[in-house]
Amino acid sequence: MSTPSTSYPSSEFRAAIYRVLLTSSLLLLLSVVMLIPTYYQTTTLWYKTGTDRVMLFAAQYIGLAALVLLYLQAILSARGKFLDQVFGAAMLLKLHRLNGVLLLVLAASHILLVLVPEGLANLPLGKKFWPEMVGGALFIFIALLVVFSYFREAIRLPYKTWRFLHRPAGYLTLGLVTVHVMFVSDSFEQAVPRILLLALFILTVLWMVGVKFIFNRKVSNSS
Amino acid sequence: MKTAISALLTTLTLILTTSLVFGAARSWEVDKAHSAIYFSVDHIFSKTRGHFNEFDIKTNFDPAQLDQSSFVFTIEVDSIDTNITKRDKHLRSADFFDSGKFPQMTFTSKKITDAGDGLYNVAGILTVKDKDYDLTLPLKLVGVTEHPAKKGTEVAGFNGTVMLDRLAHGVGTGKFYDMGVVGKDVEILVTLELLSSK
Repeated sequence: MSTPSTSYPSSEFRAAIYRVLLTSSLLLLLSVVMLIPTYYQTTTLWYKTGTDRVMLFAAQYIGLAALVLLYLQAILSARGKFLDQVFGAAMLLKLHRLNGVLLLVLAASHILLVLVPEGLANLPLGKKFWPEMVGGALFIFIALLVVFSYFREAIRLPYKTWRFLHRPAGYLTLGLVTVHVMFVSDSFEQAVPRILLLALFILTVLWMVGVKFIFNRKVSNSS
Repeated sequence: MKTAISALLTTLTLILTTSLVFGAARSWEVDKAHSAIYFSVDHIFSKTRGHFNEFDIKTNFDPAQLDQSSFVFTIEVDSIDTNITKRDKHLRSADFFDSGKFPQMTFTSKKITDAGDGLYNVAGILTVKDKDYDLTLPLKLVGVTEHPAKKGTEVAGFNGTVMLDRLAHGVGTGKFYDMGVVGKDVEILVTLELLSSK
């Protein structure tokens, strides 16, 4: 009588499976979030026609993609043992840097696509446009984070100083983007988009807190 | 030197006397807390109302000196307020006022005539988006009385309504009118309390 042989997949194979699963989950999440502008249309879109309407729709899609990628950015920066094993520390850092640039491009495109249909001279400034102004502040933070990260050595900014500033500024962008999206668009006055946004925010924060205080933080500290 | 000083004094006296005899009518200051420029426009079936939070009105008015009286309204377009921020943003946009390019609207009176029964027709130039339009604003002088809460001050009350075709004044291209969404006739209500020391 022969004993059945138990063969476990190699760690590389498992990592590959996880990579596919995580990437698919991200794409699925992006697709779900992208449904919001269509199913929970803003009243602003009612009054936009032609090119203006196309631009505003595009701005909303791009803005929401940036939202998801900003949450992803926080997860990538927190890393954690699991992500380190699946992607490797070097790949996570590469993705974090690439994602940062992508975020800046998306944020800039979002702003332009929102402002052009309104007329570039008509900036939403003032107390009653505070959600838009939070968005403006968010863009400045993202731009500064990306620029200082890419040109840190060129401007001879010490690594410790850069990290001391980069981390809290990164956390701040997470809060700013949530507040901006929650209050700037009347789509998020509806229950489903609001709950989805809050759930994503809470899960991201839980991931970061979990990695930092509960789970084994990182396999290696290279960054 | 003596002649020069004498000439200067004579000139100053002449200017002072002239302004006292032929000077502008009584000056009034707007009580902003109790004055407003409201508007109302059709939205499909309902009326959408709003007002401008920031405006200034310089007034010289004396019923006995109408030729010396004047009204100058300056409205900050960005201060448009319909109680819905998104709508205000849209009204400020290039679709309507384009307030970034044209931040102010003004109305400067040219001639005030007494239409009887306390009604004064204030004819002047309305400037919207840097273009001038003739406009007559009928203002009813509701009364002039000592301010009940501020001694030594008189308050004058004016109310007036006028209908404006927004499309004829360049506020919108007609796109939303053609869609049957936003009407073209805008009812303006001007209600003022003006203050002047006795």
